[in-house]
Amino acid sequence: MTPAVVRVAAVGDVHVGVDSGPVLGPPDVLAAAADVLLIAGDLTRRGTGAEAHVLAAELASVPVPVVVVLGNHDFESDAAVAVGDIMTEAGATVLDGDATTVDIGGLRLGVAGTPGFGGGFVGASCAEFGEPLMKAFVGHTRRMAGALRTALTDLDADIRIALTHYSPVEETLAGERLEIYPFLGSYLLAEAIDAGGAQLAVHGHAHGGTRAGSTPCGVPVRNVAQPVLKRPFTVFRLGPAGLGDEPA
Amino acid sequence: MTYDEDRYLTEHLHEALLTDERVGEQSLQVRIDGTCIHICGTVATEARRTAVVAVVDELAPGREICNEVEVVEVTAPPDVEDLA
Repeated sequence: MTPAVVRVAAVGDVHVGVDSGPVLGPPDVLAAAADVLLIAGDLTRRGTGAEAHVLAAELASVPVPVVVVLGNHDFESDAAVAVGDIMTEAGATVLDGDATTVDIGGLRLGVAGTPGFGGGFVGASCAEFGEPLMKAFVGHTRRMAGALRTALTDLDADIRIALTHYSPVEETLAGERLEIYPFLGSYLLAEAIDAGGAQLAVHGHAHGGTRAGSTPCGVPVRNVAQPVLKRPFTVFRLGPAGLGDEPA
Repeated sequence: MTYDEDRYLTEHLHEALLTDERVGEQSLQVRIDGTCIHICGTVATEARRTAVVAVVDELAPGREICNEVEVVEVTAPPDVEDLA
């Protein structure tokens, strides 16, 4: 019998180092709480293979499908490909401008993901203008947002979720210094999420931010950075009928 | 004009606490209050919290350091939000 809802566990910014213990809590708790686990980037502290292997060892005992994107920390040691490969070998699906579908008892959960990047938000955003470095900065975000939009649009799924590291909206950054907002996310990601028909957007990166926001077209956005959650992960229940009312 | 290196030290420390592999945390806040350098925010492990002092001391040797950094607690049980 097809379930009425899927239970999506999510967390970001676990920043695993070689000095880390388990970051996801007991596997049996995760198994009882969720059908799938999303990790919204910054899997590691400095993006080394050694750090990735620590998380991979923990993922080996995670009893549900795992879908991840990388975050800026995972790029620090110029070994992002290796970090991704280690995650893949541990059984996780690593998204980078593409999507995956998880069958949960006959219900197809689609997840499209990208690390995303910065650039700022409506009324205070950077443009592809001027120096080549500025064009490259904004162009990188634009390409990631474009890939996210295409990946979401092309998903053949009952439920669509967008998974990013950088934030698509300002609301979930509240608590961070306003001056660094352009380095925490971009409105281009929100535009992709709205155009791509996502039912939920999940991101990390903003440790000092706020949990809940929404895109300009009303898609719920959740900041699941572990320092914000203050728990191993949070769980969202979603159904194929679309968005319902937020809990009181 | 007199050069006051403390005007720039906060940002140098902020960057070092991100780039130094012993800490590697981007969201720590640095404040200099008189003679004391205050560092606050959260890190994921006790080793990184302890290393904050070493990193700051290398850039500002001999200065008083108030390490107000906390190890982030993730022990609360998972919560559930119903979007169905």
